[in-house]
Amino acid sequence: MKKKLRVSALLFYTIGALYFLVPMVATFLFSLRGKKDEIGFQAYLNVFADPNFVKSFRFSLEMAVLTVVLGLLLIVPTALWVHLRAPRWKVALDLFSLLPFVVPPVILAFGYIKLYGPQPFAWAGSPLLLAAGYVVLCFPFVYRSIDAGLRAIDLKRLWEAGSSLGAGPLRTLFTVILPNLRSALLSAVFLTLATVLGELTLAVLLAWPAFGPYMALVGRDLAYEPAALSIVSFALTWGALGLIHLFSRGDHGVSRTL
Amino acid sequence: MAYLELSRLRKTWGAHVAVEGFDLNVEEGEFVSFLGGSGCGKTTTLRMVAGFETPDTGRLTLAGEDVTRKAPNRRNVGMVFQNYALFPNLTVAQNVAFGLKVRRVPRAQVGGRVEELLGLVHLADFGGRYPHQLSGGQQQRVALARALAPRPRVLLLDEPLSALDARIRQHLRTEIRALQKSLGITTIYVTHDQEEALSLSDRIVVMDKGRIEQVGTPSQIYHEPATAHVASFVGHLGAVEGEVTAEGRFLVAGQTLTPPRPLTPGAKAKWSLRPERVVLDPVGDGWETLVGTVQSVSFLGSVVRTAVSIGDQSLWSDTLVDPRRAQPQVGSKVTVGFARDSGWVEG
Repeated sequence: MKKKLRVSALLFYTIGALYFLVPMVATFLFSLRGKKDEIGFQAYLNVFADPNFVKSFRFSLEMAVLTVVLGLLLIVPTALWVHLRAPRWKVALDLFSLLPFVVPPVILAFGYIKLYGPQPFAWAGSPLLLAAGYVVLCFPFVYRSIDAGLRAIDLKRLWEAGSSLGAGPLRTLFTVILPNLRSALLSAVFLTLATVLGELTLAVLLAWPAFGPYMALVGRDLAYEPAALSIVSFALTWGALGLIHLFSRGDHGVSRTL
Repeated sequence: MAYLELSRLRKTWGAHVAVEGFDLNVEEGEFVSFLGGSGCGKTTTLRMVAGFETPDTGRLTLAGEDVTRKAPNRRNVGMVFQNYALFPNLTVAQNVAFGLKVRRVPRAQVGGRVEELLGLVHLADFGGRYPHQLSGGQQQRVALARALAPRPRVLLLDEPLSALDARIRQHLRTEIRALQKSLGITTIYVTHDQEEALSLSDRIVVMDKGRIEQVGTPSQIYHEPATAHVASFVGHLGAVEGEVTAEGRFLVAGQTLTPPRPLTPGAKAKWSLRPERVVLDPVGDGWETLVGTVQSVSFLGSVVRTAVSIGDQSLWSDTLVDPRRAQPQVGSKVTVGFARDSGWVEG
């Protein structure tokens, strides 16, 4: 019985792995054919040589950093407040954090253009508006990471212990609460980076030269380079996930056992 | 004027009254326990002293200063929590040093003070460890050291031992009391465990439904409980209910007793007794006696507790274990005796 179970587990595992790996390998092999009758990294060289690649990637990276800063500034205090002082609002916030999955980015973009495009705002051209849109798109990931982190520690007791020892709110926040949320914050950061770097809709509709639209453009016009690009962006995403794993290993989590 | 004064404290959560009319003066260096079941308001009161809750009405003064609405981090009141609440990202030494660093104690002094406190709680070699590397009892000792490090004006302990197992609990209890005495620190200790309260405290505040039922020394609380609730909450209590005869005597299961005071004829009455005041087969005169049947015999270590049924009711009797004496047999007839002035008669 046990053996049968292991065999079927292995079977499903293999099917799953093939489902992901076969297209990956195929794309990778395809990307190596950039030069006629030769296997090599020509397509990758072409990608990296394209000034638009560097430009769009840099722009998206800058936007990602801005999104991380804005997102954490907005969501960390909100999540703390809800956990400490207004637990009855948790349900509302949980639901609210799912909105970006329900309302597609197209609607968000048109809403922005309609509301903030004309006077008195005229913000449609501001990169801050794009970043604000990204904050909304990343809200579920950021909020849920931080919420899970806060649930894993006894926030209220730690907070009270800090203040009974004479620490003010900021000191308790920075020396006690945030260090214990390290892996939650890191996963929020990397999920934001990964989302923003690949985002297409908002960037296109608000007309920004971001990495997502660049990838789409390359994919429309060229054959081998898009394959190389997807391998690159795949590597970036997995690199980010690997970093989360690496950094969160040093955590002195409450739940960690010896 | 007392060191710590709680006057007419009241706290409500919506329609629920958590604490009402709480008056207490605590002298400097005194060890006071708040004792009561869950939801009796003991923790809420403690949290008002800590500053985590603000009373709706009433006043709190500490060393002559009104602290009713003062923020918890400005009160200099140490707190030990039930689940330790150590900072998981800091080592034991850093945890203990936390309150000192907040107060900007010079670095040179911090190290010495941390060592001193870890020595006091017998964890001198554990400074470099993280909380998750310690046992529950060790974590709670670190929490105690951390709370004491900044020399707080009052030490508050919220059921600090209830997450620990019985042996460590007893051991740590003795340590807490010894430490409190040697430091002479004013202490409030919240517990639902009567044994803890009786063994630790200078005075006990018994609470029920948000109100104080009785304030007194452990001996007063045990021997002279002010209400039936206090009597039943602290220590064990058996009781027989009966009727009052025309002569004012107590009639239970066809047998009569002479109560310590005359009762209203025809009324219902209840006589409550501590098991250690009830004697099996008493010798000599001056006993109130009832004849009954041995219902059960339980061996509790140093004493044997015998339940004796009298009609459809029962009384407990505790006897010190004497291996030379035969234990009563279940089902055998037995006479129970108690002094007329022992126990509490209502009715």
